[in-house]
Amino acid sequence: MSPIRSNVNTFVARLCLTERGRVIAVNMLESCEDGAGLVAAEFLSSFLKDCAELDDPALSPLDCVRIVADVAAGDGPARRSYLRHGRQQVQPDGGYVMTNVLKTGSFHHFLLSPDYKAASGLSEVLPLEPTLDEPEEYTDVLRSILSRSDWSKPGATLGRPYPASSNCWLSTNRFGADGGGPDYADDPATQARDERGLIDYEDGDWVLEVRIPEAALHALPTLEVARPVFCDLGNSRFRVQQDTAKATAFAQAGWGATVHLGKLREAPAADVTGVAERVTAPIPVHAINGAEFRLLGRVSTQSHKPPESGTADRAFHDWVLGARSADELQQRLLELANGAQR
Amino acid sequence: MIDASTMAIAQFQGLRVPQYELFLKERLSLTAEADLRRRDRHCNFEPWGIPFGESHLDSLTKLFRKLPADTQERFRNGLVDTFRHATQAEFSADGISGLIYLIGMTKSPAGLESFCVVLGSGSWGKAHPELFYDALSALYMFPSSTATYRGVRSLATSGCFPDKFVFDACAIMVRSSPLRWLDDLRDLSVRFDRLIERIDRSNSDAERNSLAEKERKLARSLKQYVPLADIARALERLDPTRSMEGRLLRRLLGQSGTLTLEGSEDDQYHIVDRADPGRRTRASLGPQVLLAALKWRLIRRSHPGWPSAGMQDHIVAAALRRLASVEGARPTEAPPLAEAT
Repeated sequence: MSPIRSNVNTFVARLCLTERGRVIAVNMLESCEDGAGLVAAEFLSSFLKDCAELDDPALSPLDCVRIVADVAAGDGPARRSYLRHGRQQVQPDGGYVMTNVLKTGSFHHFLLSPDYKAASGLSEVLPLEPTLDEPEEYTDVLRSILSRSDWSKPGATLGRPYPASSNCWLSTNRFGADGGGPDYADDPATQARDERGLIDYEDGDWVLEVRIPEAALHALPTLEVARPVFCDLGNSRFRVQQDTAKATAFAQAGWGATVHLGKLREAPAADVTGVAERVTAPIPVHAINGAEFRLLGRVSTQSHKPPESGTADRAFHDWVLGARSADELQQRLLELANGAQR
Repeated sequence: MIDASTMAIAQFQGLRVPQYELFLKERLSLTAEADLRRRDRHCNFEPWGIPFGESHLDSLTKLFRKLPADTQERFRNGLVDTFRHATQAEFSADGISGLIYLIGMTKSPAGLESFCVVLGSGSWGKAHPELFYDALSALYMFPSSTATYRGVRSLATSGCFPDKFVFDACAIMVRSSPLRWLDDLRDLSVRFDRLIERIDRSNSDAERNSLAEKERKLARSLKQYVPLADIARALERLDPTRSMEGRLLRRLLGQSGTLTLEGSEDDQYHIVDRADPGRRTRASLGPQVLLAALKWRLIRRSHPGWPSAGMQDHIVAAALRRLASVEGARPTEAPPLAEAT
């Protein structure tokens, strides 16, 4: 066995020691296995090789999750970014709207320009979060800020707002409204959190929605657009493939599907497909024509219901693994990766 | 068996204040791009059972919320110490802005006093006025309390505080300590006057409109947070010859104001909530307020008999005498406001 292959074997074995690592491993398989065709075995093999080079037996197995993120974003030994590999064409403009959500605090810190804040004229001070008794005040201030031409920070993007490589996750109304799940009457923030599978949005977080006309993406011809796969920095409720009619329809049109947190809370064994999603390169805020920001409100429930035993992460892990054992998972992944190396 | 994430959190909880300071400094003092590229992943606490947040700041906020109360207190103190000790050699303005964000999101009480020290009289405020904006945004996050009031007041009266933020500071002060509003207005009058004078001189319609909107918002805050009876009481000592007091009087009681002043047959006055006319309280008007209210037609007749014969002359004469006795008093005319008639 070559040293490289030995290292890959060790990394995969260590990755599969933790629940989160095993969920990532399933996503690797589901990106690569027959039928999906999203990622070639060579691509997976190369990715794992880069991960293995960063791995160190002195690190905790939990660090393997971090290594996957580092390599995906281009901080691996080869400095190669693995993001947006499931590349798709921007579909013809059908007048649909793409949406992204972010927390009000992120808008304040990452999108609002220091020059606007420091300008000599009277600027509107936007709280980090609205107060419960005055959400309208926040909306008024936000509207006033957005009416100015100088509000956005130079270089600000939608998507994780770092110099590091990242993705912007977009949903669409192309497939109509999501059906099923809990009743979200007058609670659009919780609905947006649940539909998009945003496990990091907690009870009490304030949410803004950004609405982007499809036509605006057509005006950015070099923007990379892709169906998300295992190396797109998905969160701990991300799943590449779901065996449901809706997810299949999304996939046929080149979209991934979110895991609906509300459905997952209510009936974890049933159809938990949420809305269609794609990733794009971070989108420069100043370049989006016709983008609208609006306050959806405050998330009002926990993202998950504490399970009767174990943790919510474990419940998700059990659902993702299904009938596979951890050993089988590890073995299948190595077969794919090592097979590609031969 | 204890899993690794539980152990990691348990270890983190055992840190002391200086260690939390070091932990935060390591993550927020980075300026080189190579460091920034790694920063968010240094703030990935997913292996600790905390979902990866939207940003490094969001992740740190989540980490804080996961801690028990006594640990949160040490974390907060470490955070404020990081802010107080931050030098321009070690931190970028963005790093300081991140610390301010965290002070707001964690509602760190010691942070309230630190804003004045670090920004108001320290070098950061002079070099980066945008940080005052961030500090006010964070101050909106704190619950109304005497401590919040003191924090905002010390910042707003500090040497480096930009005049342009005086309305926002005053609004938070009104919310935090509503009964002091008139004294606060006077304490900040130099800033108000300078700002208004600058905007008047600028001949910019956009700036004037923004100023009018700021005044309307402050008037709305007064109505929302100050008991009606206290507004009524303040009319006895309010001085419309002071620019901001006069302007605010017109915003409160003018045609588009949220309150109205009614004169009744027996020459009594009542402050009435426009949205809820049943909410009313008797007001005792000082002579200058009466004169200004008459001149600006702020008094609505609740009865055709008002004012009684001779009453107006009497009031005006008394008010004029009072005005004449005020040394250096300026004319009661305030700059024209669109909705005042």
